[in-house]
Amino acid sequence: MTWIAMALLLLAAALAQSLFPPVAWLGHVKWPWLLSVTLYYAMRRERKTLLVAAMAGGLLQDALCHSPLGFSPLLFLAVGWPASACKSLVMTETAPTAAAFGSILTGVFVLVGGLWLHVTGAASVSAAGWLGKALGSALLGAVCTPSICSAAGSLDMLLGNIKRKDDIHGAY
Amino acid sequence: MKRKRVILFLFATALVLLNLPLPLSMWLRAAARDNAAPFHSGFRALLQHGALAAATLRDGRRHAREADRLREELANAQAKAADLAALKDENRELRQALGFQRRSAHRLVMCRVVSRGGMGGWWQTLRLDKGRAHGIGENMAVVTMDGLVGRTGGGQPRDGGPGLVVSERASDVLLITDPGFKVACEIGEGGYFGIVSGAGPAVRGRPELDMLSEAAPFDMDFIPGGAVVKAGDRVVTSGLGGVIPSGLPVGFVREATADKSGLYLRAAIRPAADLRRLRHVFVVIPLEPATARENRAEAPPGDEGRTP
Repeated sequence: MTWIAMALLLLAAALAQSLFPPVAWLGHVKWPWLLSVTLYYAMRRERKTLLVAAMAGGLLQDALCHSPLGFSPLLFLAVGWPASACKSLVMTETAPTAAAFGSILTGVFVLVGGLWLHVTGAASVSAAGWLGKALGSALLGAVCTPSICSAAGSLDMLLGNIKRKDDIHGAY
Repeated sequence: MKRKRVILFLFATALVLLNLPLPLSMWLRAAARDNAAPFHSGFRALLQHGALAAATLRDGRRHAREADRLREELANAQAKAADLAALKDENRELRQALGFQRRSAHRLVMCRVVSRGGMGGWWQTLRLDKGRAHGIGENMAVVTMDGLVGRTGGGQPRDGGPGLVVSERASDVLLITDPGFKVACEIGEGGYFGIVSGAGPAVRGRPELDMLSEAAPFDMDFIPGGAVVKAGDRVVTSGLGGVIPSGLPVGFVREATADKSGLYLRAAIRPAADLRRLRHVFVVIPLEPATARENRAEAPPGDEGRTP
């Protein structure tokens, strides 16, 4: 059931990310729903599920976007990994922690991704636009990640993938 | 040990994906877009109907008045259309009598905008709900009633640019405000030629622009230094690039200044089309290129189609 829940979450997130318009005053950034799903699996589930979520989510993002295929899976893995490594040190089931993780890691994702796209010539963004996008993404990540964590946690509990909120850490 | 193998396998998969042959990666993208297209269109339609229903509930009386006004306008438009049909017939007969060929070599396909900005927001793009199945191909002009909006995906990404795809049921469009968009244009009454390129999105804008990107003025380069270009001059496509038809309105000059070398002018252009609220656009589809070429070759000077 974990994989069914993951597939549902990823598809819904991809649809939402595609349909939600970019936020102009935050540097025209898109809502990072797919990355938030990956971060949910990084913070609250075992590492194996993180790897699959990062690969599937990243591939979905690249296939529906204009970036090179394989670009997002690698970056999703790169930002999901520290979150997964740190989860035993912090209370990942609380909304503020999810917001902090979401904000920092989404910002890092956009910084590194923007640099990659600029170096490979895939996108031309000014330094100010690049930093603006990173800050805007960080703000949206702080909103998206707790929302996704709450929704995905409820779905996982509904499907019996995790028993109670207290047991989330025990789902290794 | 097993976990390490899984991790290595996944990283290797990502690296393989990054190095997929271009045709395979374009096929994957097209398949993803085709499968997502019904969901995109469905949800977009649902949102639009919801917004319409909410507006009707909120302001029903005004909508009823609006409907009456539109009915009246429709009746007037139909009467005008009937007049135009008669004029068209007359025009055709006269052209036949004079041996002229048909002017327009294009048809327009109306498409709904289902998504904006892609998934990452790095490019100024749109996604339309129609694709190859409706006759749309690569590098076709996309317009609104006011002017040029962009062009459809160019197949293989050039210079590492965005991988824009035209699939069976969806089309990616690069907007004129994207820095990667370039189109040959002519400007002013003198018909000076230049190249218009997008200046990127403006971050600051009115709050209602959140929905869509602010259309920043774009730049026009390589205008001859002796040219007389004034604010408000109209800019239209020249058709010299061979991709975008000639005569499509692009925008109006906001200001023109000499470039650093002093040899050329650089003009800031205000887009003719309102790019902030795009719901529907038209794709300009050339009608049988061979026939169009013949028509142009045979038509007397000054008889070439200027607008689709």
